[in-house]
Amino acid sequence: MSEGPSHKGPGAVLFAALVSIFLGFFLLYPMGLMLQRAFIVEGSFTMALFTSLWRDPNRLDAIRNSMLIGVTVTALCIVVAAPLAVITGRYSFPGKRWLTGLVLVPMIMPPFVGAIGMRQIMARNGAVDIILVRLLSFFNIVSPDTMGLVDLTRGGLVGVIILETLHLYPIMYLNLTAALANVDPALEESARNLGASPWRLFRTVTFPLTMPGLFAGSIICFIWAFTDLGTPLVFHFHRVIPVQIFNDAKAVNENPASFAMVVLVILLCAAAFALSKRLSGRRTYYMLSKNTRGAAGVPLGRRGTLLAYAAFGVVTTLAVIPHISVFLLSISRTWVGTALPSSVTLEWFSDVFSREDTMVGIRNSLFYSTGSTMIDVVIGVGIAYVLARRRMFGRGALDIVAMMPLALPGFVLAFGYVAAFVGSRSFHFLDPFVNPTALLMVSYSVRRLPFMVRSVYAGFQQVSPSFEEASMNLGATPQRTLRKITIPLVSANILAGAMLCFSFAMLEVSDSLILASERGFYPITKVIYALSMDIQRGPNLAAAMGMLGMALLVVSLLISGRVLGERMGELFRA
Amino acid sequence: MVAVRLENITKRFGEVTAVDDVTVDIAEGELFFLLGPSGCGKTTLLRTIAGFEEAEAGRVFFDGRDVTSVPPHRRNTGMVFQNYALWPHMTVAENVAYGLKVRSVSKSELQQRVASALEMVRMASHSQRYPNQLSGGQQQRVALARALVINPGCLLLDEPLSNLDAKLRLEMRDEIRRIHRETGVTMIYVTHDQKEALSMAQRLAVISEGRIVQVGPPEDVYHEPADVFVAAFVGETNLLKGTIKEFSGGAITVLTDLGEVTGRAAARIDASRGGPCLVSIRPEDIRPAESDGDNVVAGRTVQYTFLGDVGQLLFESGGHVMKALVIAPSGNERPDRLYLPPDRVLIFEPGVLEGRGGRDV
Repeated sequence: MSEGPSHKGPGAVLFAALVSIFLGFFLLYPMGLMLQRAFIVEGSFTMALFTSLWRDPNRLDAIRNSMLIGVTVTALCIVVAAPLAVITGRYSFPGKRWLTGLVLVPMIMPPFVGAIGMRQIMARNGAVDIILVRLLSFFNIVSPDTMGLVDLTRGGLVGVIILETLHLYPIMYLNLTAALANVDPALEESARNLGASPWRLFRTVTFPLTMPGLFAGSIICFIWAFTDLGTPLVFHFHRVIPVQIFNDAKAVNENPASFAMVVLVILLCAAAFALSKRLSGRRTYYMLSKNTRGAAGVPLGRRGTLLAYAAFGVVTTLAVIPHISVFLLSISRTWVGTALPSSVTLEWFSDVFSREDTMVGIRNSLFYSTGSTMIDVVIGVGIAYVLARRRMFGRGALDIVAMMPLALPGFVLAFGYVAAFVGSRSFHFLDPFVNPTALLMVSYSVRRLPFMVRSVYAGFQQVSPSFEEASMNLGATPQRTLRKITIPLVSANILAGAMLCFSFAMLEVSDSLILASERGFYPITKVIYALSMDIQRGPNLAAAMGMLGMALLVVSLLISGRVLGERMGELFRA
Repeated sequence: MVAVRLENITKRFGEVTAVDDVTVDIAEGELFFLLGPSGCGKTTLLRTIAGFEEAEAGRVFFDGRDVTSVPPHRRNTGMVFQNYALWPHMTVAENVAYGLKVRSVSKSELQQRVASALEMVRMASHSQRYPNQLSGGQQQRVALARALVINPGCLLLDEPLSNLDAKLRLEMRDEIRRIHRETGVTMIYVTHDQKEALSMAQRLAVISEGRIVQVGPPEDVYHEPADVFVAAFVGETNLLKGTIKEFSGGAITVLTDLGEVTGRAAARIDASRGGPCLVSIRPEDIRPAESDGDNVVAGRTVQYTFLGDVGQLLFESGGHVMKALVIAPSGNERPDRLYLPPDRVLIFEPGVLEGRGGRDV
């Protein structure tokens, strides 16, 4: 009958005002500024910057390549994830829980770290090349002395697409399984009952009902692949939008066309997001009963089970190749011209903890991420509380703004900060080229805020408002109720959200690369990037640091997964 | 302990008017019931007393003091929630102690009051358990103790027994009445279970579509229902459509499909206008008849059900089926005539029954 207390305490209003100022200043203001710089030149509205994009072959090439990467990766993700989603969504077999857990493994490493390892094994005379030569020479197709048959890193485009697909298909999988689980089995059974063949059933009932999930997953995959900065950089593939923006950001005011480029990305992402919301909104069907499929599903026979294992096995094996390559790189003493390292060592790990640049990076990242996580906890818990418990003016707008970072690429936000605060006299303390600490914390926190909000919101939904009412009824003030009842009851969700925010902040790529310009302020990811560019010993050190980051992500994903359970997938949904 | 007065309370949720101009007085120390079907606004009314809902119009008084704009945490009411709302991260003792800690009660007094509250609800031996280690009935008792320990001005109970099984529900009815006797606290109790209300209440208010239809002691409400909704909702009754033929004093003669029936005018009927009306008689008031006469209807018994202490007849007459209770065994399980005692037959205004769950014969 009621969503909770309707009294609007001064605390809630004050908090809402503070959050609005924070999000307004650090999210809406930079975006607005970029829009202004893109459309208004010398005080009047113009499309000149956009038409100049069209005339510049370099810009046009970058736009084409980025679109190509986004569309191809999304399509490949669907191809990879859909069969797996159908298998787990419709059938049951022994070991299903373990296999579905394996699907998430690729998420534990940012793709640009994987790229450092993959560079090693996909290049000329890398593992792939060597194995291919061995195979072909075994059949006497080429001579065993052939050096360098293929180089998958050449040009970089193929490598980027492979890496992105292997990284993003779990997100598609999470969206698809959620959509499938939402389809009431009775709807399918009644279609079967009315005489529909399995294919007709899929075409006319199951597929239309899972469309919203497919859209949601596609949008996220497209945006993430379209806007990834780290992977193309590592592959030296500079003809994509994010890398061009990255280069432009070093001297923002010299090239106004970059504003048009950024705004183009913003508009594209916003359009994609709006489209997905519209399509999935219109196609959100009311399911009469809550699904009963859950853990059940049609049991598979022995052959079916083997096929299911094979499908998961092939995909997971492919997906962990980048991880394995990074691991091998991190322990290899010498790895030249052989499929596997010829001698191994742990010295890279000890180096990580003894070198000054790596330790500075780790210290910086710990500091930045702790700060950004604290911001996320305060703001995220507050927003989730308002969304779940208060009937307040502007609630809908708050929801949209808080979720906006999901569709907002990191390099766009970072570019906006550079444009807004570099050389700024009124906000000198925020100038990232002087000291990026404040802006890095803020950008990490803004980017991961949706994780926190969704995680805690899920907690509030599970806590009946009558717990809070009982407390107030017994005389506790709303503040005391929040402290003694509400927060303790959602503490697990706060912890889960904070773990995710922290570890994703530790491995945040694009804002780190753009905002941190001096070595003393480098966070881990920028140190990894800088090392990976150092041909001598760098890649091994970078790989060793990547392994440490991976360990951190594994732990936090395991903890959050335990707390959030089935609802974990919601964090990665549009 | 306080006397509670609600004055012209109106509460809307969007387009829906949940409570519509309700005025009621609840005496100090009274065990008062708000009874009505689900969605009638009774819980909203209770939450308005607790301060969780702000009424669009009207005032709430505790002992003559206007508390309309006092926030929930300063009203000193004790509420027992339908789902108990025991905090899962606190033990039984911590749950009960919470309201006392809020009131900064000294430690020794706190322990003593928690112990006696748990004693009162017979849960002293479970004080160190967590709520998820308790059965539904035990959680119910803890929720009562938690609300009572603060010595509330009034105790508000929102369908407190609806999550319990039938046997436990009967047991808890007596428990709550005992606690009311022992504490003397003003209790306002919301339920949709008319048997609960009839058996426990000192007075009850029957609510329908956000309005109070009738207030009074259970006997009055049961025997002298103000309108046909109350007659059908509180207890069971047979309803017949009819046309007023003549009236003299309190007695009205009605022409029905079963023939002429004479009865008493209900509280809100203007018999002088004649026309259509509804005839109501409760199953237990009907008696088998040996021969024809006034208020005797002829027909046949289509089903007899033995219920132990009584027997239930389904009796068909004039195209209608009516229900009657007879003493079992009566020796005449299948009568062909029934006598409707005129002082037990009530004549109502028609038309208020539509869609309200009454049984139309």
